[in-house]
Amino acid sequence: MRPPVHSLGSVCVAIALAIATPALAEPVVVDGVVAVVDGKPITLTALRKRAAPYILQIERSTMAKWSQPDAIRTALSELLDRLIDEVLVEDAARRAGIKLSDKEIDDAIDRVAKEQKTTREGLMAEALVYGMTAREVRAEYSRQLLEWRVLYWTWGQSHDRPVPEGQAGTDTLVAWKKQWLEARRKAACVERRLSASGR
Amino acid sequence: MRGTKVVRLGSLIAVALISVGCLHPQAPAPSHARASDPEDAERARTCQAPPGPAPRGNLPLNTAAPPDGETIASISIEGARTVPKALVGSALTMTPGSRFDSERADADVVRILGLGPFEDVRLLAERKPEGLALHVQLAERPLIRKVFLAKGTSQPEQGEWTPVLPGDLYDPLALERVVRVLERNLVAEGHLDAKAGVRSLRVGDAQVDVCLRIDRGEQWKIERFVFPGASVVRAEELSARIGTANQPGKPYRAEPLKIDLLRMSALHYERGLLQSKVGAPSLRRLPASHGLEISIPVEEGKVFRIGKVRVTGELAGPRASYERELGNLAGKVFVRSQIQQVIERLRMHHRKLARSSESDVVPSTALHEDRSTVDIDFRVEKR
Repeated sequence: MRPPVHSLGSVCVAIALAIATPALAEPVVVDGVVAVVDGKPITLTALRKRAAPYILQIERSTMAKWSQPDAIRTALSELLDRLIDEVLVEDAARRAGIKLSDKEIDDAIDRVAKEQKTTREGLMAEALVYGMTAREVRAEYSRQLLEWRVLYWTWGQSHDRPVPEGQAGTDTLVAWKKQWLEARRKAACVERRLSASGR
Repeated sequence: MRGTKVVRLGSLIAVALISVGCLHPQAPAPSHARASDPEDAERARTCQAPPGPAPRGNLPLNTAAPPDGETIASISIEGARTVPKALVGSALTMTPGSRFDSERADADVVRILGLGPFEDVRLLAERKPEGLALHVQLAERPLIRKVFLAKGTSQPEQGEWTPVLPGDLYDPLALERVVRVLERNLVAEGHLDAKAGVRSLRVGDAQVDVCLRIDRGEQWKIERFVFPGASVVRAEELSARIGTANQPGKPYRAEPLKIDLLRMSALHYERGLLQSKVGAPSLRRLPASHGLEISIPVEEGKVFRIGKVRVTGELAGPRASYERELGNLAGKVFVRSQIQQVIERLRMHHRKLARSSESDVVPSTALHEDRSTVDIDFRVEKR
């Protein structure tokens, strides 16, 4: 008895059907905890939201498509360190009673716009090109201003002398930021649930 | 032949003795009981775990964009062993039939975490022909299985800490707080260099072992107080203002001393030292005796005398009658308690005249540093 022979045509049809039918994808993680800082969770969604401008830059770059996921993972992993530090800064601000008013944030944005010889609207328009809304830009300036205030306050708590004026002051605070954050990370209960490679 | 028999018998006896363990004594038993070896090994593994919370494992990272806008076909809750699924369900705002929104989903994840019993929540999405199948994967907080004390650590005493016990829910932040409080309490007992730490090791999905390490360090006690700069008000008088919490022979307590510093300032104001400053205490360790020398710097400034004195405001009678109540203040050293007494006399006098207690006497002062005098205006005001 001769074995059945499948015609080339029927094989091609079978392959075409397999491609056309949507595959049942494995469940993939869409949200979860990527870090916990003193009991406060940082979620994947929050991380992705902050990383959106960087992801957009990667996707728009000339980088080969196959290498983009790794670049995105690395960007997310590095940004997570920054988010962890921001939680530590916010916690210090809360304990010190440091709050920012809307006017202070507006003034900070206007100062930067002036330094860059543009207007507030110009700054916002430029940020939009990178996928950042006006609200997100404002939030970013607010974070940076709060960080600066906290660094000034923590310097004052730990040193007898004030922060120097001008560039020397900026250099002092940059060095102090590194020292203070290292100490805070050691003292805080920080659990990171995203590897350095993002895998 | 007879010798051979003896040798054979001897060999037989030797074999018999060896077999019952008499001829070759057994090797000596190890110095630790065999039964505790696994326990020691567990203690060592736990106490050598890296600092920080016992890691849960990394979140698998999917770089694809979340499925915003796609219809949710089903939501399943997985992993809740002791917590009712209904409790978790009540925290969800996503529903089958609605469209997936990553911000809303994120808020749901954070809300579920906020319920307390879970140490991890993951949301997975699976594309099916009927729509998105969402899986809410939960990991309940593990329980503490064993609590070890690191080698060289003695059990903290009652009152020094809130004990961590097997069977407690594992909460890394709560553990850190317990350890910090323990450290503070040890420092308050005079162990100024006390350090406490905790290490955690997962021993399964639902259990964690914990190792507590305490290094108390030496205990330091107050040996003496010194007051550099004290002159008008002598050191012995300042020492007498120190309360019972900080006496020689006791551990140093910073908080009660703050009140004592205010009492020292009050003493200065009794001696006319109106610009005095009592500085922050500094500690110097005396290694030979494990004692502490506490130095409280004092800046006394000048002794102020009373200059001009007057009574003003809404008087109820002749000014002279008020001025009689002042006594002979002018030229005398400013003594705060005496001024308080003058205020009280003026207050009583005014109330008698006015036949009412609606007014009060409020003093205001003006210092003249060049003359070391202080003018006082006792003002009668309606309350």
